[in-house]
Amino acid sequence: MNGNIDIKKDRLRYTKNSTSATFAYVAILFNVFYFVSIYNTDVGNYYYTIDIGISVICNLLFLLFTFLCSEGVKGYKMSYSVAFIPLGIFQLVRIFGIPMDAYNTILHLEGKDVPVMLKDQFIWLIVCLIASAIACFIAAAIGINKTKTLRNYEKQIGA
Amino acid sequence: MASLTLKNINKIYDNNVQAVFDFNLDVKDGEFIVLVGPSGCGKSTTLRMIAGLEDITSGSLIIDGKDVTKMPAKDRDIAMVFQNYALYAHMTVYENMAFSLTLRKENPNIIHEKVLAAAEILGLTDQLNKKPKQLSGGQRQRVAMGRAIVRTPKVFLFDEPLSNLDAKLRGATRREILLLHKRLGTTMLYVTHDQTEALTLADRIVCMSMGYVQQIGTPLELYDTPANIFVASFIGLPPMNFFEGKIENGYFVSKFFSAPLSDEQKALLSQYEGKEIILGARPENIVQDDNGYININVTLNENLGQNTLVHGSINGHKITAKFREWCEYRSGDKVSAKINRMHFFDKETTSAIR
Repeated sequence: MNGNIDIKKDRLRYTKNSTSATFAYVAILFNVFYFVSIYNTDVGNYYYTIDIGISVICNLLFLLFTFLCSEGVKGYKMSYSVAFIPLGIFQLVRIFGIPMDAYNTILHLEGKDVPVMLKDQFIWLIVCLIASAIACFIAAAIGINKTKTLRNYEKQIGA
Repeated sequence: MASLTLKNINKIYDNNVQAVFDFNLDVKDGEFIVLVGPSGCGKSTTLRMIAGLEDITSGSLIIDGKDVTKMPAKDRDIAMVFQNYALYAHMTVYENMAFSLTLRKENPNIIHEKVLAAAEILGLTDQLNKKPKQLSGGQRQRVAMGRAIVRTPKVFLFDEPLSNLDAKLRGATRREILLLHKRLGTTMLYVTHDQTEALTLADRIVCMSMGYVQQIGTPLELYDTPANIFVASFIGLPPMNFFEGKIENGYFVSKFFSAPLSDEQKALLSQYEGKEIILGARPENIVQDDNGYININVTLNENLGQNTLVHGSINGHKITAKFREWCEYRSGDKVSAKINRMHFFDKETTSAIR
């Protein structure tokens, strides 16, 4: 049994942390779903503000940093593993930005009240952001755990 | 480990070119067989047929008593090491070595143990996290071998694995392959055009030319008793010298020299009295003798440290002698010599006279 545990730890020295990286890709994937879904409705001039620019930049930055972390975490680098936590939090915080605001906004167009975002779209966007955040947190947890295990094992064997 | 039998193997390509003719070979468990011959002689084709990378046109291939002639390559349990290493550039050494086992969905812990064991054997433990581009040619070839070792195949096939290496590295890697064979005891088939590799590695050598097997035997047999002029000229460096002549009254008489024959040689050549034959003499079997019957007109003197290669001619016929002494002949010098070991070949059939 102990032998198996040691082999498992020893394997970490030669194999990449592909599990964390995979979860990072999942986070990216859900963010892409979010990205391509949020501007589906174009009601009045709701989106034509500075917010849309910030939103696009946020999306691109998230994709960039998550991809960078996915590469870094493969090599058991603690900083990259930890970096997934703020990325996950960032995704959760974004729920309260455009999606929430758009969902709660009703525009008066041609004498009618028109909601900017319907419930179905809102739920889908929330699901995307939460799934992306969860994937980031899992990537972080696995990364931190494996990195700690590897560091301790390396100390143990004097590598 | 496995025994291997090739029965009447022929290979004819779609364009009707026949690459291998009636190849027969029995390989024993754990034997190291080297297929040697010049480019285009069919040795690599034979190896590829064994691996399953080429179809066998006719004949049968039997591994451990089981006919695998029509069996797909993946099911033959054979590992092949290529000249160009065929490593995945984006994978580390560890990943390259583990790849085939990962595809088989083996337990990761077992894969890990096998890879570490192979790396230990090949001295690659410190290189496991490196990419192939960070390794030297010799190390890359060891990785390719490691990838074969982890599979613990029945038979190892090597297709000119040292051809891409420089001379020094080739020698070192050759010794590693030999040690590897001694350590693993696995049946190995090795293709090369380099006779030094063939002589140093093989338990038995299969010498091929133009798709035909010329001789199968131990390195000493091929060197000492070549079956025909091709084998005699191919095995040995520098190559054997040949002289056409006749047997007359106990002498080999040519227009270059007349050599007296021993009683044993006279008996051997009794049926060739008055007939044309070919005498072969290895450079190392030509020795300096003040009363010798060969007069070499020196054209070039090459000192190799322990030996001296003397290139010259006898009445316009080129000859190379390998003297054990340090010599300093100059172009135009005359050297008197004799042959202390002669090989005789039938002029018509080119076969050795025995």
